[in-house]
Amino acid sequence: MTAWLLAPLAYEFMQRALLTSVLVGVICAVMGSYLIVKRWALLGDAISHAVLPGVVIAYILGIPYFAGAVVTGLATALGIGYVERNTRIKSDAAMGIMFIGAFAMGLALISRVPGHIDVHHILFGNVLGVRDADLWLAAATGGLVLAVVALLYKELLMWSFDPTAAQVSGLPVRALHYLMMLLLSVTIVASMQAVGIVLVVAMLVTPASTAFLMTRRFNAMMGLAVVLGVAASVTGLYLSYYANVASGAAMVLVSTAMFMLAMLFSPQEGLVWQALQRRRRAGRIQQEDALKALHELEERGTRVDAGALAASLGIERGRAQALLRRLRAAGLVALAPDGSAALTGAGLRKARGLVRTHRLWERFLTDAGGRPWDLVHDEAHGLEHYTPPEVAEELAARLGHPRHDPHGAPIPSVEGILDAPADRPLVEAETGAEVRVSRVDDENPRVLRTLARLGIGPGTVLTPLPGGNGRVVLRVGGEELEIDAETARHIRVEVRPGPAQGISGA
Amino acid sequence: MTSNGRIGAAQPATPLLEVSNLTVSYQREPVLRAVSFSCPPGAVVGIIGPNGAGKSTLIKAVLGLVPRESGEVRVGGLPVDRARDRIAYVPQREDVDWDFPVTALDVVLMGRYRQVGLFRRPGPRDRALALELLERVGLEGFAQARIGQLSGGQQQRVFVARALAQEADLFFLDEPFVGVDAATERIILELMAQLRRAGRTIVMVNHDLGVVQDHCDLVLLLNGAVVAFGPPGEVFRPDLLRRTYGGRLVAFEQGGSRVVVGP
Repeated sequence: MTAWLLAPLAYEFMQRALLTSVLVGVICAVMGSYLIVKRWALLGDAISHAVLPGVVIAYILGIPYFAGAVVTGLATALGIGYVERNTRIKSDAAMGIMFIGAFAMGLALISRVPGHIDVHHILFGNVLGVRDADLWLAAATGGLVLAVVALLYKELLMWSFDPTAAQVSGLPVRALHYLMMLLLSVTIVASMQAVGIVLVVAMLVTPASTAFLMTRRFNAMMGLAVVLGVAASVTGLYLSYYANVASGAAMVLVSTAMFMLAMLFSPQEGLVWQALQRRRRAGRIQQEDALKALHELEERGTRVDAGALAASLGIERGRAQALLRRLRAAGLVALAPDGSAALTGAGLRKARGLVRTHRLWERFLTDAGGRPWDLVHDEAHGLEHYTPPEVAEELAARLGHPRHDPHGAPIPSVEGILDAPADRPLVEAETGAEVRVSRVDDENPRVLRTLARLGIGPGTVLTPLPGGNGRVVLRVGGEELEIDAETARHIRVEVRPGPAQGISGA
Repeated sequence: MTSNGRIGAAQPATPLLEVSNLTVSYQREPVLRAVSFSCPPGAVVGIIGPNGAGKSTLIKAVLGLVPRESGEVRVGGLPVDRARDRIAYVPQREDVDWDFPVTALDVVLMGRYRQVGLFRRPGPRDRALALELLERVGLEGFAQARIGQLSGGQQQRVFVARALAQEADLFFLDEPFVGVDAATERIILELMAQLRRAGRTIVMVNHDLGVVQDHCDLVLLLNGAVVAFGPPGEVFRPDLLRRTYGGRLVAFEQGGSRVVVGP
């Protein structure tokens, strides 16, 4: 590996190329950081294209190319500002007009110049062909950019974050603006040999954007951008040397790949990380629902197995089986050889905790939220998975530690103790004897609405009368009512009337 | 909290802010016409008026952020450009890029930049002051939070802390209570009262007449030009408010009863 890295450096052109790559990585990342926070990306593109006529004019006049390049780049940037300020044209259109115009002027000049200008080289760069003069230019630019940023760091930070307040405090914001435009132009010209004027905007924008996604302070963003920029340009250089890929394209592609990785995998803001979070949350909710379903099956005293769980959750048997295995791995469920399942002590406590949270929410939604009792079951279901135990206890305290939910179901204690009431279905109650409604099954909103209309809820004292033909006749407060058998099946009653509970939410 | 007239009694002190004959135009359309007023030290001044009355433009023109067509602004007897170290400014919330990678502490430290001076970095004393100010606006523990992660009210408090860090004499607040919670409003009003007791002057644009009436010593009614300027008790008169707000309905309290001014 080391040999692989060092061997090319035996050539002088490779040493120059490596140094240039590092310098370009640094200056583009530093200036690019300002470009990102100032939203100057398009301006960077404009200046880089507008460099072309300057290079050609300098060639014609026989002066150093960077002098001409910086002049036309800056002139175009100023022209854009002028159009913006003095016409109704907005900045994006002003940029399009001016920089493409300048670029076309460059192409037109090239087509008329006698002799040879390597257009391809100017447009796309070739770091392997860098001369000493180019290296010196990059080094001088690097020195200038780093010196300005080091000396004026806090002024530039204020200028980019809050130019208005900067101006109020007396900072020469216009001067800083033009200084940064000049530095940007010089940076672009110095990077031209390595990546070319068409691709340079990627070296400005991409490493800085990657760093922007991963940091929360500007100095950290700039530092990380420099690391990424140098890594991209050096990797690109080696790709160019060994795989014979165009150097500018290789550098840009490496930094684009880095951006993709950061966008997908950066902690917290990465898209993959977020998707994983969502999946984990969905898995947790499904496990919690399964625990509650198992608890309910056990309370009912029916056989608990994958089939029963599948039926209760409305999922396939295979999924239920997998859920049971995961719950067993978590120590919440025990599985017998015959396939039956039982909650362990931990499982039971967890299930009762969920039931407690659910029923407290129902109580809160009806009592404090004024929600009708036929809607709160679903609403509480959405909330229970996101309620930490301490919040549930806060709810309980606010509500005065209620013992029943709005439908009459007992709320398990914090310790997980559930008082099973000595009640039975209304349809099994003796006719002619007074009973008290203990609870109403809360999963059928239609039944709940019917009962609310009739004024029947937990605590209602009533007497079943002889009925028939699938109708159930009740005497409630001196009146006789008739309800259908389906509705009656959802009501449970206590034979010995206890203290009234009231029917809040009805 | 107010004592209307107290300022009037203490008058002949040299005004801290003196605006004379200020005229501003946008694309040759006059926005402000010959605005003149002056604020003594230790006063809270409210600028009110309908939308488009030029309230924010007035502040911006006073601060030199938009060009003045004519007129003069003096702070402590000096042209505003030579008195910038005495001025702090809290911009409107919408003027700020909340995605910017800076922490709350970074923003408050910006208030120290002028005192720190060119080519220097803020030192431990500046950091200590900034942290103390964050605490005063109820944001201890948020120093390292990125500004964009804070709520609207918290962001506004960070900007107020930055203004305090400047240790200025003259504060400009542009709609400080827009988009902030009640707790933030209370904290900012309390800080304003403290600054006023310390002899500082505050100029704020506000559209809530109630806040202006309760917390300002002087009120400027603005509608392109000055309609009236004086203590709330003198300028909150139905005829003046009607001239300021045109046909719109305006409600305010007067002598314990609610007055509604209509067209």
